[in-house]
Amino acid sequence: MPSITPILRGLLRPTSPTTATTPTPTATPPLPPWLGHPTRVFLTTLKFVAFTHLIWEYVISMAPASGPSMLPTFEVLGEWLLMSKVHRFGRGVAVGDVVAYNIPINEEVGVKRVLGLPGDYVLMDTPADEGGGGGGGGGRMIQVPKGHCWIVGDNLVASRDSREIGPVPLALIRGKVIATVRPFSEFKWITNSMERVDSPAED
Amino acid sequence: MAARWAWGSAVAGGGAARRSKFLGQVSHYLIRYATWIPPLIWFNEYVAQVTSIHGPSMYPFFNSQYNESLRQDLCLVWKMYAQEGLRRGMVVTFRTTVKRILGLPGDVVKTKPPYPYEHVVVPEGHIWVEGDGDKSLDSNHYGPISARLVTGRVTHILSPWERAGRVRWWEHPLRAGVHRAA
Repeated sequence: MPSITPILRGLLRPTSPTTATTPTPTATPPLPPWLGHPTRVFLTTLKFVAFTHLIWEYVISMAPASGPSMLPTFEVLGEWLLMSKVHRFGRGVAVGDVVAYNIPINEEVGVKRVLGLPGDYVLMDTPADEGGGGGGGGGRMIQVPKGHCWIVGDNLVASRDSREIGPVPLALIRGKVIATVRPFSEFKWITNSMERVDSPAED
Repeated sequence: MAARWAWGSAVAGGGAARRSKFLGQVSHYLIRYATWIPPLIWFNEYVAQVTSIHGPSMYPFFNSQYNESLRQDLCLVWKMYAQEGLRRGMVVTFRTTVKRILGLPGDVVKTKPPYPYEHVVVPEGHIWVEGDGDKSLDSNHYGPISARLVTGRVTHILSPWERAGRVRWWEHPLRAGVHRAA
């Protein structure tokens, strides 16, 4: 029966050279403490992977994206997007930001532009002068409910977004898209095109 | 005089050395333990987490003494594959709350007062959730919610020893007024 003792021995601190038993003449140089025993190597790897995952999940992340809904901002194929995970759950997201979100009605992830935040009034359908397919331009408006946002693709004719599924919970936002990175020669920051215009002081 | 001065400095030097050795050991152990924080966060996020239940929304299933004591139930929340295979009666957690699933996609649910319509068809990919208690802010206030908002399932009660054990959600009777789609 194999013993578990050798595995557990890896959890011990490696012994110092002074207490080592019978050093052989051809002794190899001492290994660093994290590389001594297979168990220790495994645990170090585990901790390193978990740390990387932490950064990936809570600070910054990258993912491929495809589809025509965000033309001309993103190509249909071969896009890789850099995402700020600090903005997950819609934290600090402003109108005009591009976000990646969990689509509420299926298992996929979408990338769209935020057009309305809680309390904003938004157009529920496609504006008529955009020439959108099926865009009636009825002019119906809705106030985005608390904890939700209104998400629309840049390519109105080929985008399934809040015009179809309604307001999206902010808690489904995975992060804010901050750049496209592929190919790297065409690296491009994605900036908010709806920054507030500095208007002259009024009184 | 000179000897005394040397003696004093030697003592002071010894103390400083001891102190720096102590600080070195403390920081060494702090860093060693801190390296376990990322695996712990990963485990809590993707495998399981022990969490306490706030508020009376699931009374009397959880916090059955909410009006008598400040003690909160301690529960084990299973996070793996939380959004797959949801069933009516399951107790699920969201980012800040815990509720029971009443309706699955396609079900017709008879709503309770704050909801503006008498009946609602639960849309695709959505669930209808309610608390067991009367004081619950649930789907009757905000409507059907996306199943992707589910973060975990409550599988065990840990803390009040009298009620500790597995959460047998399949034995819990659901309220009337849910017309099942399938």
